[in-house]
Amino acid sequence: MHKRFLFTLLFIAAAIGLVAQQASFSLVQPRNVVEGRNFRLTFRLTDGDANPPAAPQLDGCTLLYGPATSTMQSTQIVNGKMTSTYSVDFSFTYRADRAGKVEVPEISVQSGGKTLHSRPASFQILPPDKNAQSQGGSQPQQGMSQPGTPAQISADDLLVRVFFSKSSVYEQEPVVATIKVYTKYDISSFMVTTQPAFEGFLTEELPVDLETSIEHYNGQNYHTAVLKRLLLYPQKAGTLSVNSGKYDVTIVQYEQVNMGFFGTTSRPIERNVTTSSNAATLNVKALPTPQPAGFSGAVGHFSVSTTLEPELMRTNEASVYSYIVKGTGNIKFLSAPEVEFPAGVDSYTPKTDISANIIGGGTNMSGTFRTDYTIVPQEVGNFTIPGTPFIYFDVESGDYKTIDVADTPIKVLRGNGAAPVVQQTTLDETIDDILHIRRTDSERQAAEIHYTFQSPMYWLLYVLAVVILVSVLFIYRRNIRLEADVAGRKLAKAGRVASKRLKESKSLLDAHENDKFYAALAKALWGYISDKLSIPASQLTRDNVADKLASYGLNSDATAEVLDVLDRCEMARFTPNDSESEAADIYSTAERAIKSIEDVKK
Amino acid sequence: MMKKILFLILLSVTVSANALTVAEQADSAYNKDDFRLAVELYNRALIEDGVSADVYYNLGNAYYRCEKPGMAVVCYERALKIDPTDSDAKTNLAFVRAQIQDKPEDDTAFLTSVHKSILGSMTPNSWSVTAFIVFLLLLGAIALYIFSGSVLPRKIGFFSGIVLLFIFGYVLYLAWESYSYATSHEDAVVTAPSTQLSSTPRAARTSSDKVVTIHEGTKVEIIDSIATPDDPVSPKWYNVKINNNTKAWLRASDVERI
Repeated sequence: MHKRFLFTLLFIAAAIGLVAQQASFSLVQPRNVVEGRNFRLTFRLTDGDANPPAAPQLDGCTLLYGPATSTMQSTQIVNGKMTSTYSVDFSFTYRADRAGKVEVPEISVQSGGKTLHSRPASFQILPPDKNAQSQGGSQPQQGMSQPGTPAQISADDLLVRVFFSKSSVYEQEPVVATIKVYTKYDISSFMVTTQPAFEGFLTEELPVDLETSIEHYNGQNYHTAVLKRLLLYPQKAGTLSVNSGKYDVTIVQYEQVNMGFFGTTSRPIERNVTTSSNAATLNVKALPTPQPAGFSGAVGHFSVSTTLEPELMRTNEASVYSYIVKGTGNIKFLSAPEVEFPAGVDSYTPKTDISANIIGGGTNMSGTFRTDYTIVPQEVGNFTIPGTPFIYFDVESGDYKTIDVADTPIKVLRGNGAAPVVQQTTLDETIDDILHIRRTDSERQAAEIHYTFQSPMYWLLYVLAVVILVSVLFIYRRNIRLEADVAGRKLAKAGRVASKRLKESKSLLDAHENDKFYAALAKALWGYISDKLSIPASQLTRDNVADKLASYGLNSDATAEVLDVLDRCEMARFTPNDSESEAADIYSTAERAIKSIEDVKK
Repeated sequence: MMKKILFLILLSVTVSANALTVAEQADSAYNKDDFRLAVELYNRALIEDGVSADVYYNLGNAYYRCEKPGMAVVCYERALKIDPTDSDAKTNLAFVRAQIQDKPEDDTAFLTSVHKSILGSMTPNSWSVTAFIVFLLLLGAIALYIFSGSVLPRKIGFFSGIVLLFIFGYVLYLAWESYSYATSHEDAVVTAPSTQLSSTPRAARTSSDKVVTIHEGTKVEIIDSIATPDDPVSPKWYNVKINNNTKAWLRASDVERI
């Protein structure tokens, strides 16, 4: 993407150049210089025509000469099209007088009626070598090599250094390691025999620009070149160190040779040197504990989005749910989030796709970490894919941040595919938890629970029930006895009643009132029999009486006599005769009959 | 009359002032997943407003959510003491029991389990009332036998009376058993994550002291207790019976009586 953009830009620039021969004016980036040396500052005007600019005033530098003008022309024929470039260099020679930082101001020139500006820039004037000062002043030299007999190469003359961009980082926080060579001599060959090992780090190689520069280090000036640049992600806390690498280097020294008449000349001598780099250490801070649940080691600054494609789902038709993490940090080393899909939606092993670019001049990495979940719904209905929060450690604020991801509602329609085989599940197996609480009702709360079993009233009820039954029984029994007594009394009274009634009838007989006498006598007899034999009045018939008397235990003669008396009474009542003797005889017979019944011993 | 009205007014004022009872506050705390607060509030509700099977059941749930299965078992057992028919409490108790480490020995015979399920089908008070009803039926049968003049009703009264006498005896026994279980405090549950069963009422000091470890949620039956003023951890030890046969001692502070 980025590259393509650059290409496009180049094409446009070339096209413009062809059409308008656009003039440009720029400063050739000056390199660092050592104090006391002369150096050149060059401005380049391309495809333009201008008078040399006035020499810029530089702090701590003395203008020695300038401007010197040199021109260049290059012509290119590509596919029959000719392009030519014409450039003018304006050079100023200065002497660096004082160590320090030098700012080159903006310079402008007039070209073709336009004012062109150069960009301001800066460079360093480095202090001179310490040993050189001790030798009493500096002398301009070609390269850094000493004149005369080549000096013995000391350990300070060739260095390989490894250093980190930060001294203290968090776990997983990127840090840049640079391997640089420092030399005072020309190098003709450089062989790495042992690479420094970056143990405990994940590494990412960064591009290296092959420019050399002059650097002041430990009081010495060196030519430096970057050998390697790495973006490191520490994987564990503690003090991590990078062991030293070993290098075979061939350097070139110049030997002064006396040519006699021709004076002296210098001759190159190659020397092999074996050197090793320093061992650099880095303090790695552990991420703060406790780590929140769901944290999977993301460090940096991220944002998250999710997509579902296609959104309208059908059973047995695949959709892709994407979880996209964008941001800066250890984006290459993230792990796929664990998304829990609802039951009824089958998911397959997710596919991850990482695209990351180095940003910030090689100090960090930015990009996209995309996880695609292929899901196939098996059931029709409305479901929700729960949003899986993304938790990362923010180095700047030094704490954990949680990005909440919204739930994704999905609607599944019936697909065209064959109906899925429904596997019936047992419901109580699917819910594996305690039942929920009930709503409490304070009405039902009691300070003390009353147990019926311990209540005296309860036991009293038993007693009461028994008492009621017993008393009912008692009353029943008494009633039966009372009923039995009525019969006995009647029996007992029967004789007396009968004799009383006999006396009444006797007085009627004495009064010669025969009709009334017979009626009274019949009543006395029937009443006596009814009471004595317990025969209800309704069953008082002649036959009944005969049976009862027999069963009562009366002999047949007496029975016959009783029945005879009853017959004669009835007869006399309905066929009146006034015979006194007859009446008296009936009376005495009745008396005898009653007496005979009374005499029966039970 | 005036006093009564005044009392009613006062009552309505207090009711409106305490719109939410402690137990209801606890319910809402539970529903908001603040289980520690729910435990605290349910316990307060038990002290302030009295006990009920519902509150014990809910408290058991809250304890379970706080990962205290021992106290959860205690609460479910207490709920079942008040209301042995509480099916929710039975379900959750079985669920929590299934999760505890010590598997109880399952030595219940068929008849015992039938008896237990009959016992658990009614509350102690219902059993008492049932016993009285059966008693009345028994009296009825006796009365039928005594007062009836005919032979068939007398026979019915006699034999049903004998059957009812046995039923009455069993139901009365059930009433007594459920009542005495509800009022007894002989069972206890281990509430510490684990505790040592010791053959003597002191912590094991030498290898000769046989020791078995039992874990949270296990039910024990307390037979005896002894004061141990020398023990720095627990001033009391219980002599307990486990699975109806093993007798051992354990620290009183590690168990909770039901």
